[in-house]
Amino acid sequence: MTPARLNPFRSERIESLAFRPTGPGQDLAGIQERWEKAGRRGAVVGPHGSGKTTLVEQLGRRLGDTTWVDVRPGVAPVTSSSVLLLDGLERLPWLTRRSWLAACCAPGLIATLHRPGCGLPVLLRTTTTPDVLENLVAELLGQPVDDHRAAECRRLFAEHRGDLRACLETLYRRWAGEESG
Amino acid sequence: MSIQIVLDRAAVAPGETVTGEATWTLTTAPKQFGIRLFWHTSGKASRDTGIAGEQIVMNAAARGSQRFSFVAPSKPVSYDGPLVSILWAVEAFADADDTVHEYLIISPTRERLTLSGA
Repeated sequence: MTPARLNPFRSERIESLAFRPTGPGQDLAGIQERWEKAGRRGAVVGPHGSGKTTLVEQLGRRLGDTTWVDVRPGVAPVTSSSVLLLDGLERLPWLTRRSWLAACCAPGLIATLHRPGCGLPVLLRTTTTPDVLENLVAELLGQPVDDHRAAECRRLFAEHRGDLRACLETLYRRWAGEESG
Repeated sequence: MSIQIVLDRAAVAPGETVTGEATWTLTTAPKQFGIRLFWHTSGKASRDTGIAGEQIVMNAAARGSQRFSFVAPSKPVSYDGPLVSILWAVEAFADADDTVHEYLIISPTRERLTLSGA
């Protein structure tokens, strides 16, 4: 049994991973430029576990003065003097999303969405590849992945349909000895 | 810039006293220099944390040292499991920007507890 504090896939290490661009124009400077041109409003769009939240957190650090909002039913629209980073907008009923956004008052906003919508320009569509997973695993293990580990990454990627967070959670359990690989 | 913590003992039982000394050499005098005893979780879930005690040095000089003393609480105890570990540490910080910490063990046996068979 590997104690949790030594598990290379523990949450604080996952949360410290940087977003991995998978194509051109996905660097932070390019995304910020598109956001500025779009009137400082936009969305990062992608499926579960594709790095949307990680990317928006990094954009937030780059922008400096930001307010993180975990959107959910019951949370009122926000008035803020800083840029709003909105996560979980899709938890709101479909019909209320646009009106909720319109009622927010801030000098800019960036939202994460699973699909384009809410009248927000798409700043980036996040995608994943088995190579990205391999790259993340190598960073967490502190060494290049061998053939066996690379094959495990490809299997996991397929099983979880590209959801990198789910892949890393499975690796945590395997490392902890709860599940055989 | 450097901050150092030296613990007198790396493992104590609940009710015993965690003692040691923090020393610092900073480029400018901090508004506040603090030392705290805290715990945090590490593992599968997001990190949880709690503070058991804190000592603040107001108007600290750019260089200095401070003895500290905290009574080790009865819980949570240092623990190692597959899903979560509970870690205790003493942290020294200058104006919340510069921090260092030193881990210690707080448990009745002065060793990290584990579930038998885990």
